[in-house]
Amino acid sequence: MILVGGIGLPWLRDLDFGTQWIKRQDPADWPEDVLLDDLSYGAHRVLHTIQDLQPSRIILVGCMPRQIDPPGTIRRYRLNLEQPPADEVHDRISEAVMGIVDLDHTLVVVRHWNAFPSDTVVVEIEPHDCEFGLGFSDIVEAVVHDVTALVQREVRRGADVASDALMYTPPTSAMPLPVPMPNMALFPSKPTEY
Amino acid sequence: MCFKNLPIEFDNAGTAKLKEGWKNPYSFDPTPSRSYLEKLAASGGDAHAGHDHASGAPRLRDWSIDPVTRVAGALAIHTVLDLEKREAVEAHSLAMLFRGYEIILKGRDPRDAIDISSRACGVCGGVHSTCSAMALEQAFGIVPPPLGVTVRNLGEVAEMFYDHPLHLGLLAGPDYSTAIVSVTNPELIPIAERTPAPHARVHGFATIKDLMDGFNPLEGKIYLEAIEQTRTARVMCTLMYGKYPHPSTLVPGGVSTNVTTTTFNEYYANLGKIFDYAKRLCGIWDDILDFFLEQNPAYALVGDRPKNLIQTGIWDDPTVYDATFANCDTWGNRRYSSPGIIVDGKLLTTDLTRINMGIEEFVTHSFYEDWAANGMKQGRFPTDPLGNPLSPYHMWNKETIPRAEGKNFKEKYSWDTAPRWDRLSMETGAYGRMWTTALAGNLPDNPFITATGDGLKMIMPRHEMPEMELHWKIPERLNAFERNRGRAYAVAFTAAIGMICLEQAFAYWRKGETAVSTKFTIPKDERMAVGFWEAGRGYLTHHMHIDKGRIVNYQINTPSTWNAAPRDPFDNPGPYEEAIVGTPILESMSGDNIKGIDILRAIRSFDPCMPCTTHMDTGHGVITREVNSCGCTLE
Repeated sequence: MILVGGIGLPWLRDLDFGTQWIKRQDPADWPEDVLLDDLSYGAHRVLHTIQDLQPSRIILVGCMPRQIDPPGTIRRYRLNLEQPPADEVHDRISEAVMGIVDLDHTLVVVRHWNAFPSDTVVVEIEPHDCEFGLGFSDIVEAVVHDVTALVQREVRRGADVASDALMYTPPTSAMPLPVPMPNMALFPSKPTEY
Repeated sequence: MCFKNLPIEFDNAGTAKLKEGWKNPYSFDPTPSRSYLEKLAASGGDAHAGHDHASGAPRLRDWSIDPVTRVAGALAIHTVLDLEKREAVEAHSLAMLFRGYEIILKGRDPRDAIDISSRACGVCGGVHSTCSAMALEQAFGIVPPPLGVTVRNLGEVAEMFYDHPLHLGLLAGPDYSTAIVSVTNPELIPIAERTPAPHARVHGFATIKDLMDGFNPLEGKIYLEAIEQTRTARVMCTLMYGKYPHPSTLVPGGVSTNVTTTTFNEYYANLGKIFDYAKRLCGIWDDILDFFLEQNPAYALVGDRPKNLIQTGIWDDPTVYDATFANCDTWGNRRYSSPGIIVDGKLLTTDLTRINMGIEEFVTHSFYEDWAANGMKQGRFPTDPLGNPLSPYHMWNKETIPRAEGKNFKEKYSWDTAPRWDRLSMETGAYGRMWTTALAGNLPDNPFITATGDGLKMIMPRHEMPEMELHWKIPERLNAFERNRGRAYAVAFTAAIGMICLEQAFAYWRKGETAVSTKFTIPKDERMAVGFWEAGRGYLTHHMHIDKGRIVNYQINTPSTWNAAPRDPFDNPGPYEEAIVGTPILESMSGDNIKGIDILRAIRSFDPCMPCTTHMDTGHGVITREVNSCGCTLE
């Protein structure tokens, strides 16, 4: 089973991308072995969900303000599953149990407990508007279909074909540091070759 | 006499009225806020008596803990430490974010309040939904069917099984771990190694050092079991709510969950695990806390404050709950966890009307406009629906007007307001629930919990471990250690209530009373209503005013609003502040290199709703970032 999970922050416009993107999907448009699910809750709860479901592959979708690419940029990467530092896991899980929803928290906590399958791909969008409100900014709204196409392509590639996305470890800090990233910026406004 | 400070008196029939002859009965002259040094000087003390003139080192040291901005930007603590006396002498509690749910809810369809207010807390994903649903059913004039009440009770029981273990295991627990104690009080480690744990046969840890190892983050058995425990809680919540966190099945007049006998059977299977977990947890916390107290009785002063508690009560008796404000004293007094006001350890009232009429929410030191001009302006609702007087600072009269001005400790320093009851600083918590229930002695008949006068006896049925009777005793002091001990016993208290409610559910099912919700229409006329409930940390109210089918005013008051409150207009500190002042510095560090473990234990013992993850002051300064989190402390 392939788990496609959205992680979003309610009522914070582009930051709610993961949740709203999942809601826009019609399960009928996806293969039967794909489970579309909103994973917008604490990282340890996502851990428990993944441990229960035991998916063979996971694709996570969400907006993530890393401030290293222009708004609307879609980044796609294979998650590097190496163990995060213990202090960071402790910090992040302490935040998660107190209710903080955060894609990086989920990536760190689930990795620590070795619950991600080896084939885990993350699709991030650089947000433009993180203020309170409903709906996406025009810039992010314009890439919704591109994200869908990208995730569908990941789903279709088959279990025996490795994703061609680069391997990457998200920043290992609770702070939004301007960490240099490899060239994962795919398309600010429209799909290009990657 | 219920009130000493508010201008309210009662006639012979017990009817409340304002004292006569007062032109502006709730008005006041604010007391200027004074620092420790100013108070010392005013009392004739020498503020510089301990000053080391040779080295220039100050006798007092500002010491601020600001890791909470690292987790949610929600809580910072400023303290002044007296390095000679080795204790905290001044404290300020700073809630750092504006929440704004009250403003978001204005003008909306009342039904939106359930889903939107739910997001006020990321930990307790159902308490706000429930409290909101209760306010709505009061406004709509509907009554949930008995099984609807019971299912709601069972959901909230499960939610507590998420809340308490995660705090004890993941947040407070590490403060007592080998990893921390070996840094702050290394002299205790060898003693712990040779000290047998009195409840070893219950919890399986042979020595106190083994327990300390169990509290170690990420690797300790107690820490890891707490994470696993939250899975059980979530399964139980999901059975009753359909989804957790932030359930969509809580509605005015009950729940929309599709329950069957299988639902209750599965819940029972998981509840059994909690029985055993509670048995172990009480032994674990008794042993670790008693060890520390035996090593140094001064630990009893950590986080110590007056025994002033406020609880709204939780878990309704479905045979009497009718959702009305008119009968809230009747159904409130039948709750399995009693509402109550405790002042200096004495129970003053268990009536929700008296609890409600005594509450005011001040903003003298908060980033808001004073809508009532020091009490000179009368509120929109001078009385509650029964005619009991209300302060202009009561939540039904409150207006949320953010104004971040005058940012200093003498003026304004927090986004939290200062709720007070009878103008007293009140604390609330899971332990408070048991405290009021024990003193009230009005528990409905049941085979699992007995109020003994000095505490509560709870029967934990057999699961894999044999049946066990646990006895929580009302503590002599209200301090950090007793808060944590009480929270551990609260797991057993909650499990016992879960068993009572589950037996009720089976009984209703057998009788064919399987309805869990009732129909309603949204009234178009003006209504005021309140939901009285409790979160994991205690007190919870949602006050609502609707008109023409829309929300006019909606006010959420949470446990951490009370506990994290700043000073009030009378310069009285809030509970965190009060608990920190007088906390001794017991860590055996060299020189003045204070790590602050004792102050952190004091703060964490309240189970602050603002995330409080960092267990030491890292000295890295303030770190801020945007997150979406529990904001239930905030406005």
